[in-house]
Amino acid sequence: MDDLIDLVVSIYECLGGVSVRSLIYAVADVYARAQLGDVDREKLLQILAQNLAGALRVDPHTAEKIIEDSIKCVKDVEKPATALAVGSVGSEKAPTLAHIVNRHVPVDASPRVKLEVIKRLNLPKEALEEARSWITARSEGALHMKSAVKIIKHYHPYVSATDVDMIKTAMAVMRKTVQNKPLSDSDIYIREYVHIVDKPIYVALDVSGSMKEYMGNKTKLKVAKGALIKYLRQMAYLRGAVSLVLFNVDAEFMWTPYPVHLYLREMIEIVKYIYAIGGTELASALELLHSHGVRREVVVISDGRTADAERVLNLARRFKRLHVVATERSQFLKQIAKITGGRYRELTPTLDIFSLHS
Amino acid sequence: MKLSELLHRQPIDVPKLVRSRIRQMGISEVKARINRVLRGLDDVVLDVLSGLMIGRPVVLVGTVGLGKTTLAEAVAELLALGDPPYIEVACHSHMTAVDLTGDIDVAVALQAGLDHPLSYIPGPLVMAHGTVLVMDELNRLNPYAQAALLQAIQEHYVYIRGYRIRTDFALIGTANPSEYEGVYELSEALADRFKFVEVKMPDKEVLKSILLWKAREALGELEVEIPPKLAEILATFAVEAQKAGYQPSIRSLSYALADAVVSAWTQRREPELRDLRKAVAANLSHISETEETLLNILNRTIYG
Repeated sequence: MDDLIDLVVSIYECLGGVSVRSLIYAVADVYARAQLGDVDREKLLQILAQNLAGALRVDPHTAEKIIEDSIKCVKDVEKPATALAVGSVGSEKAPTLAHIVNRHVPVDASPRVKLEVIKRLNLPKEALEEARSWITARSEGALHMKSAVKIIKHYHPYVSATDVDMIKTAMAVMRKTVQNKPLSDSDIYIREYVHIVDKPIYVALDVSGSMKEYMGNKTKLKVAKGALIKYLRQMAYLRGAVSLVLFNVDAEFMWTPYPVHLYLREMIEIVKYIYAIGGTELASALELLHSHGVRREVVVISDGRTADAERVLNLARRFKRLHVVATERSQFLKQIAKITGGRYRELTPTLDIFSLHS
Repeated sequence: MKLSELLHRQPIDVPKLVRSRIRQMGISEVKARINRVLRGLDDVVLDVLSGLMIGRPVVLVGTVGLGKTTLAEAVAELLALGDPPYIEVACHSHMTAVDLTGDIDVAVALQAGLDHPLSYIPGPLVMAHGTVLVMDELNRLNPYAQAALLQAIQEHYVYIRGYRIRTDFALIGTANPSEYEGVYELSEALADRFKFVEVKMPDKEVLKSILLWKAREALGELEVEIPPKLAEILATFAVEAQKAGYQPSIRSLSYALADAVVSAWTQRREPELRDLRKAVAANLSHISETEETLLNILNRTIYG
């Protein structure tokens, strides 16, 4: 009994605290299951995973992997020194995850296929470490994107004042005043909107070594991934299509535009594996997108420490609405957003990338 | 059900009942009975039972057509804690808390008094007292209904217009992985209270026997032979499709098999591969992209 409790306690420590209720039930469950049949090591892990899956918010299969890793973590207690990496601007060539994957499958393969490839590949150590760690993308903020007027209606309670159709309302008020009739609710006209995301949206994510810098207690890459996953969830809700481009010195499509609501899980899984390496060249991403005929609705997530700023500016002039999410304050990125008519935001753990579009 | 009786309900120790039921039957008997309804899921059943034995609600997770609901019903019937052995709810996103708890019909209550059998219409949470509650597609519940469920699980009471009714039940839920549309995530508090058991695709041999047996069942009294070769091909196909990242449903596969046999029978000839191809295309997928890939995989399985 003591062994089991020790194991559970160490899992608790390694995971940095997890629901105690679930742990208690897990221990009880192991004993109950032992009454019904044999419990070997594998089964034991499985039962723990089944009981902790809810608390960890993953499916039982993934929970099993997390628990297995956490048991290993007990053995090598030494914690990695924080802030190892320093930012790099240069032309150091290193393949991103997208480059590695696209060696094996066509560029436009579906995220499902790409995820399969990722799982079977011998990935660099960084990728595995990234995949193991947590990504938090909890708060799903309310979605407000008004894209097209669907219908114009009479006033009804609880509508926002911004939805009032001023012209029609003003005309109605005028008419009533001229006719000397009292005004009523039916003179106020309200626009109703539909949510449409009709064009695919391209996200270019900087995966250069400088994204390994810390921002608070997490690396910039982690924060960016959190924001990206939140964004994917929102796009899945709106049935939009998203494409992801990874760039350091070279750029490559991680996946070409695919409807997010069909591939949400695969996309999120792939995002987990993305790792940071190499120098930065923002121009490479813009060139890649431009060569594929993309002219608008691009979201760039970068720190702006690019090697050839002049080239970037020249390229950016060919785009419309290049939205920029900067991982640190950057006058340069602000300028890019400005000349293309896009928006500029700084990356924070609570950033809502979606707000760029509205 | 009279409200006054409901208010005086005694608590029932459901986990204890489950434990004594299992002790009575013996493990081998449990396994044998489950095998009559479902094959290849012994391990999952034991996982479910061990969860219920310690009073933890269990949720079966898996893609469609793997037999999650049938498994939940079979376990409930096996335990036979009450009569009927289980109450089943098909959850959907527009379900309200009142749908789960039931409500007092004010009009009847005013005319006939609160104790009239029709003045309180009980919901599944109240009716399941002392038995198993099977909640199908649990992850489709919206947050409001989840809150009602949480209260019943945690406090063992439900509140209806100020009246407090005791309810103890063993809960077995089923859930699809949340990539499917129209699915809410379980709230953290609720998810923390569940044991999640994964239902997986059985291996090829077991799958083959399941397909033959289910197709046989679907054909009913029709006197036709199902060629085992076809079932073998389908089973191989399922394994290959799974490797490629698709999850074909066993239900669809077994119906495809039955479909192929029937269509050959109506034309008075032996079932052939082309019947199978047609039936798989018709039964398996409705997304054109997926369908194409699946058919390619099927062709590869057939012609090597």
